[in-house]
Amino acid sequence: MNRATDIATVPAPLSDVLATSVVAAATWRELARRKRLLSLGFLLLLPVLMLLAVRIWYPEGAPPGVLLSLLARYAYIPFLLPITAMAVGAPAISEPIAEGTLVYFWTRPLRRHALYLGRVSAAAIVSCVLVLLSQTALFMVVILGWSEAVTLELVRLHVEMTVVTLFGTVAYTALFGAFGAGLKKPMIAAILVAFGWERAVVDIPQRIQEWTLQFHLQNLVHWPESGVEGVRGFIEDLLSKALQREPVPTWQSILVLLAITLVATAVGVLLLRRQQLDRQG
Amino acid sequence: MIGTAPVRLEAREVGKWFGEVVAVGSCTIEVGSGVVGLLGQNGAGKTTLFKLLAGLITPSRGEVRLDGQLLRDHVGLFRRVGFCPESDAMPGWLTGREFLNMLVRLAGVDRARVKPRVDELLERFELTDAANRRLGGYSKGMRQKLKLAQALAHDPDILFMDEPLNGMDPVSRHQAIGAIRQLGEEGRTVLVSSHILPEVEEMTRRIILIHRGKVLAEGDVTEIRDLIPEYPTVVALRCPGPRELASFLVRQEHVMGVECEGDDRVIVRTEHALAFYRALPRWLLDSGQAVEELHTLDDNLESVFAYLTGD
Repeated sequence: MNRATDIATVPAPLSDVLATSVVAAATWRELARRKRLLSLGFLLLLPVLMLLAVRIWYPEGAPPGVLLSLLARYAYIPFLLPITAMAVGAPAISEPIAEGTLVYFWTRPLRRHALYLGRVSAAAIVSCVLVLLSQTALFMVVILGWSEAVTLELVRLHVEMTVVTLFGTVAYTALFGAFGAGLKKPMIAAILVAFGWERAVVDIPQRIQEWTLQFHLQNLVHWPESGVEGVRGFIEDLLSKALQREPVPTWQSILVLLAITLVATAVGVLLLRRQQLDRQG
Repeated sequence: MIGTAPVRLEAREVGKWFGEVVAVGSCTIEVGSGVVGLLGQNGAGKTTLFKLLAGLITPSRGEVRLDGQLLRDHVGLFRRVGFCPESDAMPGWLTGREFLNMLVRLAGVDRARVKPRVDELLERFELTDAANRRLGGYSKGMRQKLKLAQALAHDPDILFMDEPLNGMDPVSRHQAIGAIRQLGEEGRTVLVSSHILPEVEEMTRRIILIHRGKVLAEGDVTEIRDLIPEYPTVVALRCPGPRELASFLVRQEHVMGVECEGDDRVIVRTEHALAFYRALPRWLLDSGQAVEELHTLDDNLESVFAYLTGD
């Protein structure tokens, strides 16, 4: 059988859309079966449990809108979103490199940016699903047996908070995905950024605090129009600290977050392109 | 060129170094159709050269072309390429079927043909029963079969196989060797990298031998053997009249030395094995002796390798 081919014709690579979607579908399956998602799920239940505790033992503590906003600003944004992105986003890119399974993709007719986008988008989707489930559970706890609290304002606040936390999840996933593409130990770098740099800098006034994802995400979380006054105890302390922060226009924070997401994704693509299989044996 | 025309794979003065370590010096190779063995000891640069030829790493110098095109510049060429890696690593959380589905689809096979193709591959490699088990639970032999399956999934013209028989049981090994030979006979270009010489000998007589980052020899094993004058080829002939045959052969051209061994063997040393084999039938007729068996005692990869590398 003559298998001579037309050597002048170079076959086209797979379309980016097809390659990205196939990679994303397989990555989604892979990530969704990981045992670490169970641990993450429990972690994301913590704010739900905290809210349940407040409702049971401190029912007069704060109005539900204030509680939702506080949990978004002080539980989700500084801790739960980065942890989720760290656990899902960085390994989605770094593990195929470290394990040596990248070779199967490198020897397929797909562009490397399609591979990266497929994996990071699947990681972002998995992370967002987990955060969304947590947010939904939180809202259920707020409205359960507290029907008088369900106002249009509360629903708007919840939707806003959900959108902001999902946006933050995507931004952190993009950032840590880039770490996964370029660093041998991306988790260390992610921890240093999320719990070193961001925690240290986010409360430094003037422009410095704007060099963090946390600041811009917290800036997008609004307070309910009613119910902020007359709140007691530690919640009052937290509120006063939050309200003292210098305001930055919402559009600016949205732009910064978008820019970080896009730049991190672009950098991740470039880093993955430069990867070779030298250290994979 | 090694293999039959046309040239499918060429490397021109290809080299690779990592810092100050030269893994591969300047290599120029042309490979056509058929099975070709890339041989070398561990640390010889075989794996690095293999990856260079497969477009998996960038050369520090020189270039590699597949069908005349630079492989690293045209990822579309991988539609024609199948690669079976040495490493066992696989995404443990996917099942065998999911893994193959993904790779078959990423090889450019039409969506409608993916399922029948995957079913066919699973059956061919006797993995149907394990298809819905996660890869983390696969044995080494099963992973090896799956690696071969994904390399052949899209019916490629050019195959790179890095230690393809690793971890296989004897029956599977035998089947795989037959399959690889068959692929070569179909006109595909199959480059097999291995450090296990007897295995490669069963697949092909055409080799590229690499040692300390340099190509020491390429071509047919016998032709290469013939070019090593320091080590004459040793041929054993079994016949009923060894003394008569020995006294005849010792006077012939290309025969360096003859000795009788036992009652029925003549051991001949020759500098030019090919010329010796061509002349032998006429000599046997002239001598009136019948030869029942003929063995070349060191016309094998192991001997060739040892002679060329001095190891």
